[in-house]
Amino acid sequence: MMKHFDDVRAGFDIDADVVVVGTGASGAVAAANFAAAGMRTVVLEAGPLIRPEDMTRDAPRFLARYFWEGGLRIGLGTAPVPSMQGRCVGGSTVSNSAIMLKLPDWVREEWRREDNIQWLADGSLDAAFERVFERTKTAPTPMVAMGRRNFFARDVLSDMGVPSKPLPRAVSGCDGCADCLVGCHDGRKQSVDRSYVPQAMIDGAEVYTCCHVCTVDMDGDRVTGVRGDIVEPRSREHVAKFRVRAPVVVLAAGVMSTPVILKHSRINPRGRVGATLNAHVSAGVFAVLDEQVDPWVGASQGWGAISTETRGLKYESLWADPSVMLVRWGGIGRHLLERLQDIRNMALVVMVYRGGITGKVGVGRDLRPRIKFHIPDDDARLMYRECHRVITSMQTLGARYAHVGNMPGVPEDIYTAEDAEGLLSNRLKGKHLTMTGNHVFGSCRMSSDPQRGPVDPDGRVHGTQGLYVVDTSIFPSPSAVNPQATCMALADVLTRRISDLGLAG
Amino acid sequence: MRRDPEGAYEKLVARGADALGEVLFPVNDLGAPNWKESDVVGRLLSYTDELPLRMRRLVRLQYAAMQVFGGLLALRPWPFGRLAVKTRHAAFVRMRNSPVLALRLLSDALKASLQMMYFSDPAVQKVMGAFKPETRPDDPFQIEVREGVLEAHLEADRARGNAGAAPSAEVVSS
Repeated sequence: MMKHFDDVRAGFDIDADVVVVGTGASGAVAAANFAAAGMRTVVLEAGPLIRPEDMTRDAPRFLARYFWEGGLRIGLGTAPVPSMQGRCVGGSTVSNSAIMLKLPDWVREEWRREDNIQWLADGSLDAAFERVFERTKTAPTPMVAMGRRNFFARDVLSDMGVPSKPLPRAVSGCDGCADCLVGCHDGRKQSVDRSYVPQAMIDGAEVYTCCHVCTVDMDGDRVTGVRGDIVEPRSREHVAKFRVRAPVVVLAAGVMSTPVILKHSRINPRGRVGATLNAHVSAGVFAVLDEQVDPWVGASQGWGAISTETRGLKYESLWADPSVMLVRWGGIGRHLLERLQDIRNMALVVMVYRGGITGKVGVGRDLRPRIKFHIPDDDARLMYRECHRVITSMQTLGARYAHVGNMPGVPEDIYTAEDAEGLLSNRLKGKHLTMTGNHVFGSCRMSSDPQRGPVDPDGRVHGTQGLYVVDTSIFPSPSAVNPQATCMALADVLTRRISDLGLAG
Repeated sequence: MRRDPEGAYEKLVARGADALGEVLFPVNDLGAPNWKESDVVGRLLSYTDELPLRMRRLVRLQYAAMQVFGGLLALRPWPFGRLAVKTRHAAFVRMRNSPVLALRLLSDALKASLQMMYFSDPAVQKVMGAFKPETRPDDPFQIEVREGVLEAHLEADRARGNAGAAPSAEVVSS
């Protein structure tokens, strides 16, 4: 059963065995597990359900409607870093490229060793990955869905000597429409609104949309439920209140919202909630070729590689609508208009590096997260060097010019090897990096040591009973790969353990 | 989705967006729609209507501020929209290259939101040559559909001597 805005606009006060906050990658898995275990499961989602007929290729409008802060969320600090999170049933899985990669063994071992999460070694996470991959029909991107843009990324990586392959994605029969960002209209992408949420509802979960959780209620150290506001999906006007009483609350509101809810509820063991934040360092290189690439077709991210030289570095092809990807590109006036037709010859290779970005999440007005990132200069310089390598290969393969963003000493359009030399300058720092912070984690780290993180290895908030966190905020450190599969597998393991505890907390 | 400005403040915002729109997307002989033809101002207002209140205010404030104070970038005491387009262009370039971080960030934000509107105009996407392999009949945003392009890309890739089909085991894994 799913309740929409018209069903809940008057507010409500209900009871449940367990309440799950959020229907993104981890919340949907949690809801499906609790419902399958026979618990009365209430799932609360701040955004609306997006039906296929609601999806539009008008990307700015889609972002404004279905992303937190209209898709304009920015982290401050070293440099402004855009950070986009979905605000709809399915969360960011509706609009990401559905890349599904297992947590690397070396990261898993680091988490086990440094944060004493011993169950990471017992095989349960591997079993969870298998279940998640099966449910989401994860498969390599088919060759026919690649398009020239993904093949060009393959050729660039090959020229660099980096072994690369089709990326495994949670898509069943991708048709290469490159519309991942604005929702998969024909349901091929197995975002959790199409996979886990329907299964949870079949097993009896009640999903309430347009319900923004603000506060976790506690009685001493024991959780008693959650409260929040009913939000009109378009205007975001708060029209009524709701309350759900439950002995178990599972927060899966995402890396930015979960710490806000906890802090607003004055639950902050040892001051660690939101005191940490990690993100992958990212950068991208656009190439403009002499041949037609037709970048608007082909899987959004069909091809990729994990570096064998630099641990924690990954390369991917990428595309999204030009109205989102190219807003800073192209200069102004006639210069910009002359180059509109260059876009049809464009390809993009992006790099994601585990690095050492740190940050924090505070609570702003209207319960908005206040986000800060610190980008280390050394990490940024590694990315500039990789950009230089990628550009060199792009030029070898006949790129007319390349573009990496606006930074001092580097021409906006890089035509020659000399133009690219500026990328190797030590003058460039973290503050010059043009990056997006969409792989973000660790705002409520999981650790057996409460000084290191506010969530224990069972997913329970230290010092509480019945209050759990299962989203990417519990990652003890960056995953080094796209986080979706890992956060789903972690949620799968943790919620099965919570069910086994018989709600004892 | 076009919309006319309502009220004094919205008109101020619209004048700021119109003045900058002419700088970014001027009348041209290149076949590209100019700022008026793609109605970047009307679509900016309509787009900001969909944003959460705080972001809506922030985006509109940027254009209002540009209209009120933009003239100072050209050392003129007039609103930005009253400057000649060449003067506006030079002022905006100066803003983009300014040593003052706040001015550079504001110029980035203004260009980004207006370019977002321009690039999301189907007529502009047509000039870019954009198309899709399948239609979305219920989407008000309609774009050209061409079938068989991905198959042609695969054939061309094979003709270049690539294998074309990777064994299923050969996927990126961590």
